[in-house]
Amino acid sequence: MKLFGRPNMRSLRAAWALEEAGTERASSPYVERLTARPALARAPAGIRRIANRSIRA
Amino acid sequence: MNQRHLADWLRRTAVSNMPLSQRRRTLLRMASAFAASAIVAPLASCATRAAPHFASDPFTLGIASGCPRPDSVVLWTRLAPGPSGSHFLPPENIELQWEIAHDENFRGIARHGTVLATPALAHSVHAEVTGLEPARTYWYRFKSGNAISATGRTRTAPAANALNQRLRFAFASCQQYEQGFYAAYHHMAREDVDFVVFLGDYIYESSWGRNHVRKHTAGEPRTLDEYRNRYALYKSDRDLQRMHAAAPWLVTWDDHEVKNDYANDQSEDLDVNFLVRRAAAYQAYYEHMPLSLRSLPQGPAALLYDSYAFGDLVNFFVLDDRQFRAHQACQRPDRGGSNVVANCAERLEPARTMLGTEQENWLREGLARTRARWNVVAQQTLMAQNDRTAGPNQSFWNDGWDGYPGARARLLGNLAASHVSNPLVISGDVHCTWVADLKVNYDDATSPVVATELCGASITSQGPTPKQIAATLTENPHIRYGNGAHGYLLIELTRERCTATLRGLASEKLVDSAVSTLATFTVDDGRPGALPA
Repeated sequence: MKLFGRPNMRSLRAAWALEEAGTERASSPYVERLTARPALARAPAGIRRIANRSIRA
Repeated sequence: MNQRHLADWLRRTAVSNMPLSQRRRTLLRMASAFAASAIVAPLASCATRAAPHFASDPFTLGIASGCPRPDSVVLWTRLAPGPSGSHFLPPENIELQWEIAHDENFRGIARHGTVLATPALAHSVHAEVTGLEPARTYWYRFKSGNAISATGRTRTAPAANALNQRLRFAFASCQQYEQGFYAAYHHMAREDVDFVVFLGDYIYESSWGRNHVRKHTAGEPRTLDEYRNRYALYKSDRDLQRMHAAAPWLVTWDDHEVKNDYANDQSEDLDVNFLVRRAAAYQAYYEHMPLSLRSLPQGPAALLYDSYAFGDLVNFFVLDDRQFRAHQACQRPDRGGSNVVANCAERLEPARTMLGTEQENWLREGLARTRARWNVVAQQTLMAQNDRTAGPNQSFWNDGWDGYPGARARLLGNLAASHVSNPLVISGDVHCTWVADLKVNYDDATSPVVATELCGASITSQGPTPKQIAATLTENPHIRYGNGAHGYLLIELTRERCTATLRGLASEKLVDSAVSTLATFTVDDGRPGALPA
């Protein structure tokens, strides 16, 4: 039995881009679709690892 | 909270061990917290909408699964249309349908059902799906009205008597949102893990650190709605959502889910209404995690510690070292929270507790009973002693296990006395990977290694400098390895060995950072102590 029937395409598009193809390990098509992502913005320029860091553990 | 729950909570806490004056103050605060808390709100006191029409995607916070058992998992989501910070729906119950299938295309439905998302729990749902087959991968999704969620993947635990040969999991902690992106989860999702263990500091209540790559959208949360918004912000991250979708999680909390360095009923700023705040934070935590109903908070109390069996290969003991602990020893005047202390006699008092009497007894009994090949104690913070002063003098950070050496010796002594097979302690909190030998007595060079500690990297939170790491390794020879890279530890257990791989990000400041293997250690069956692979 298939409970849900035809997916709501607008919600699907608003969620993850499941239709996109992945580029790494092809062993799991689900993971490929799950982790595929469009080009994303990078962090602001000038951000580097810092040497003297305080910790709030 | 009724009288029975109150009595249960009192038994689980260190309150009953407190001096009378402190106990009276604590009980008064608890009474106030119960009065202010509306956690056990009537679920059916408002209208129910069976088929709502959503103008935008209500699954913006993703989906998740957790608490994997041989025949059950918990499926989670929260209906929250709109951008972060405005994730609130009208005060109506909303019906959701869930289905769980043997295949990603949902051709073979294993189970399905309906749950009610109630405004009392921020329209979160925790569907406890039973009747599943052990050691099996399932796919699941939710539907409500015209909206359907993305598809999640989960996996049940092997049967209790299964002679399973292999288990693979990753563990993570400390994901301060402002200090980095969650690229670690993008890579973790590709590691083909059976499950994820999260060891605390899922959100941060406070803004701190430098070189932020993104910002909290509001100040420090104190109320239930403010904590809900903080979770909504963190859970809006797509890499975090994807990792939740990819595998079930076992979760526990640390301090930042409530307030930095809180201990039991005390906050670092000695807020007299702290238990009211803790009740709000605990409820928001439950609302946003794939937890079973047993963890639903009752006022400022929640039952989070639990054990999980994965065939005869491994047992997990997931601890809560925040809720029931004694206050930190030798605190600064007029202040709670942590401190680095030297010559602190209070720290050495044997009765001091990290877990509370009831949890400590539960753990001792569980360790005495376990017959699993590997036994993992999953808990918040570094367990190995970490002397912070070079040379013969010693100083210790009183918020970690070093602040509770009597409790640590009891736990490790029980491991040794019970002859627990292959005990592993996994830890977080300190934003650095440490691999350590655990001993009952660190002042005795001949004290044997009784367990292996693998303390994991932070996902983003800033950690110690290379110089500080080097000093720690020099001063504490039982700590065999340290690395400040961000990322996660990947653990593979077989009947012969545990293999721990540190997967480190090139930079947590890059949303699409690469990851690489920075170190690999093994622990052989029957021989505590990690060896470089």
